[in-house]
Amino acid sequence: MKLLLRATLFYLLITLLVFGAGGIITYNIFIDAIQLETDRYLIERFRDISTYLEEDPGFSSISDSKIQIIPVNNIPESRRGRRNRFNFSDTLVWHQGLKRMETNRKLTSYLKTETASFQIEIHDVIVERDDIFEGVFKSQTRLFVILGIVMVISSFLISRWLFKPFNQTLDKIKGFNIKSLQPTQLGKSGIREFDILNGFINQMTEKVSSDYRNLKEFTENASHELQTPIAIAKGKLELLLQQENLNQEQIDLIESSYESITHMSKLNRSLTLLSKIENEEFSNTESINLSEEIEKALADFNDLIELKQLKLDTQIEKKVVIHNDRTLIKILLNNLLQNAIRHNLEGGQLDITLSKKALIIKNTGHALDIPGEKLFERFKKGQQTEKNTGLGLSIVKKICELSQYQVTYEIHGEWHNVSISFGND
Amino acid sequence: MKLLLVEDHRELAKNIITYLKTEGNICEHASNFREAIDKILIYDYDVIMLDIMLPDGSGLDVLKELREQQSDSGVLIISAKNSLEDKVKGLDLGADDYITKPFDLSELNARVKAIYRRKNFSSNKEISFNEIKINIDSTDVFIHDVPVNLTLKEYELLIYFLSNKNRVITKQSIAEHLWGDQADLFDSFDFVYQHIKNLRKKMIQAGAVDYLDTVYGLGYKFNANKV
Repeated sequence: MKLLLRATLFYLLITLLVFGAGGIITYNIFIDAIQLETDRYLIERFRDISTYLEEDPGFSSISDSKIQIIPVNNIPESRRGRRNRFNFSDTLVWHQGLKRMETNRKLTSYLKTETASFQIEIHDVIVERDDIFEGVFKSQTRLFVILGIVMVISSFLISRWLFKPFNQTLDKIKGFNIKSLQPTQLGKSGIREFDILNGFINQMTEKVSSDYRNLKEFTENASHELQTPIAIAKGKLELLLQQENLNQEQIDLIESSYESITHMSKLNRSLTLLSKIENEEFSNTESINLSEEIEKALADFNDLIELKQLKLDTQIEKKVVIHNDRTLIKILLNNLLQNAIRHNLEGGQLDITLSKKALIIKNTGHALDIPGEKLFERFKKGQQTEKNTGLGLSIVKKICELSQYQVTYEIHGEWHNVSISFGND
Repeated sequence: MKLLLVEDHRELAKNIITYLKTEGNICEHASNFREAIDKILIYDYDVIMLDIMLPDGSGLDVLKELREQQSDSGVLIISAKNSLEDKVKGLDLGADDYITKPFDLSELNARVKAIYRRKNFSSNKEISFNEIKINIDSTDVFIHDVPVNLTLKEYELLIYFLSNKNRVITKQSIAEHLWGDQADLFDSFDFVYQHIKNLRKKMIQAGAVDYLDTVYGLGYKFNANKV
């Protein structure tokens, strides 16, 4: 529901209460005003009658259904004061024309002339409360309906105009791409709240962009700055190796330092690659014939497959085309095949199945005591060997996440099963 | 060979120069862009090893300068960034090869020599050492002028050894040379051992001296002093 429509409905609800209260007030004012007028009219009639009676006492036999003059011997004590002279009350009187009882206003008073005393009752039709209520209710309801319709329609029209800058802001935010390193440039709308929002968003995207730039630079620099000292240390060890007359102990020391440095360099490279993938630096999407890529990768690994005497079984559907970055796909295939060969058993088996829907790589290997899913975490290794980085499958996972592929790792006894389904790509 | 190394890290430069000089090569050093330009304007080099990130400029601009001079020096780019973009740019500007830090000195040496051979193709399309003769063009190997049938890996291995005579070459370095990034795979270096074993067997059978020494636990050495 639109904000302004919701606000309008709330306003209408409040207006309904105010209209209700207003109705009651109007009703009471009407009643009071009508009563006052009727009472004044009745008093006037009474004065007229009094004048007639004072001049001609015989006038008391006047025949008017609305006037009753009853001679009395004396006026009751309680009605003698000026204040209590008039007594008004409501009464029901048969209405000849309408053939029903109607509410009337009745004035009862006493008059004392020189010769006699009278009790005088005058009554007249008064506007009924029901009618007043009905009138007030009808007019209030109609007003309310008109107000409601006008407000809902205008809220639609106004929201379009009023929220234009807001919608523009939304569009800009939707179009914001962190990789472009361009902060949003939202202008002034002339509305204070939107200007505050725009200013805030501008600041935020600027901060995000500069943080991202720093992060990217850090990754690049860290890789550059680390590789050089590693290269130096590695070179020194190589030079040291060339010395004549090294004893076995020295050779062993050099060897283990050399291995650690090589490992460190590989770690550094893998971490850099991982952050590059995370930063979505590989986004050069093109159509890739995955069948061909797999055949190519397998050809590269042929040597190693033979050396480990693996039995390779492939079922590769022709012309499976996916849309992705070619480098990413190469890294993905490389890591998967590496994994399947590295952790395979001597003389083991490697099955590769590719269909339009999925790539499944099955290989024999040692049974593991950690669940397959755990292997996707960084630095998780089946066996804590020092030679591998423990980042290969994290890289696989990262690439799959980025490409919206589903990847699962299952271990059934000595069979390891990685499957990647491409979705509807 | 007359070599120029353009590299701003002194220690790294020292490593490279020490390693390359022992074979009687002349290896000069420029530690920044300006020095590099000065040197290439005055001297001719067979191979120039060029770091891309220099304190006062880009190695790629040195490449452009070389091209303007129509220099026939071979160029090997050394980069700390394993970025495809730099690689493509460098090769487009006329570099011959590309190596990423950190590298093995034996690998660098082999690459420099390969560039040198390619550049001097007409005069030097043969590598020969005592009874071993290799025709780079046809990849044929002769021992005492009798052809020896080597697999591609064995052939590459032999050239690698001949490029690094009398040097201890580590198993890691051999594996990386033969299989590139896939060398990450090796749990053990049995594969390297197998290839070396086969190569050695074929060489000895063909009547060559057993030049290959095993440096226990570490690697191998082509011992040129054996006769």
